[in-house]
Amino acid sequence: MHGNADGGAGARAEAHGPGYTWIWAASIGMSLGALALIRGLHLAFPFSLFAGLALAAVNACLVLMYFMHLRRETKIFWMAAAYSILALLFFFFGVFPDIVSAAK
Amino acid sequence: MTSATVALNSQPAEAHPARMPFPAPAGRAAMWWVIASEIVIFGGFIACYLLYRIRHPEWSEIASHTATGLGVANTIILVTSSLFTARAQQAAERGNADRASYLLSWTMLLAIAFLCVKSFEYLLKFLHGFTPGSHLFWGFYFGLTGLHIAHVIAGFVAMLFVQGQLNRGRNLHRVEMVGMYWHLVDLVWIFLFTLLYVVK
Repeated sequence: MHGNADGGAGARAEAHGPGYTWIWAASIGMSLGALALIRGLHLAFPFSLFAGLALAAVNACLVLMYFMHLRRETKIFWMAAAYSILALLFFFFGVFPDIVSAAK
Repeated sequence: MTSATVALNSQPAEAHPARMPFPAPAGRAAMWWVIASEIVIFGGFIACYLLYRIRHPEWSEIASHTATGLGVANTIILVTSSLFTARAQQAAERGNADRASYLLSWTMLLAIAFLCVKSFEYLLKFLHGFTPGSHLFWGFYFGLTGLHIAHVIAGFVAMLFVQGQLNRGRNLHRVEMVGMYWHLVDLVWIFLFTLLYVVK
């Protein structure tokens, strides 16, 4: 579970995952990719919002898992995932049930 | 204090599982707590903006006045600064305080660059008459980006403090703490960039 209890183990674990430079390139690529996608496809609002948020969420997952090493903290990772799903369910079904019904 | 007590206190926290109910070192657990709190603050603010934004599609015209080019520049600057922080953390894990300090200097330099670009952007907005009170969209824009700037400045000060300790060869583990905070600042910007500059 807490494989990063000492710094050396963390550094060794990092050596087996994608390098920081790849994560950096992917993060910038996704931010600019969202811009290119939305502008290039002329996505109308609110679809542009959903597409942008989806890419930002994937980007945030990359930062959380690799730069912030959340994947090393298994328990915190699953707690965060459960919280995110609950928050999304509340947002769409509790706050915006009309979006859900319109999509049907 | 007896010699046995001194020996006990000098052992790392990991040696006392009874004192550590959370399965992570105390400093890192505390930093995750701070990050969770920050996510609640920014999450609430962003959710509030989203609620208004979805109910007001006509804000697209107002949102078109945000400077996308400057937003792109700041995204590249901030994500790159995160890369330097991650590398600094890696250097600290290997016990190389000098390299960690050098890489943190680059992060701080990029933080200053971010603040300069943001200041220029604010200046342009004010010159065009876009102020926090001119429209609710600009209220959200200045509120969200202003709160983010406050966090950039706080991260800069924290890094300055940690770098001072690194230069004396002390507390290398704090690079990880300040790094986690800085990645959070980067993470929040990813969402702000998408919401304020990309989706118009």
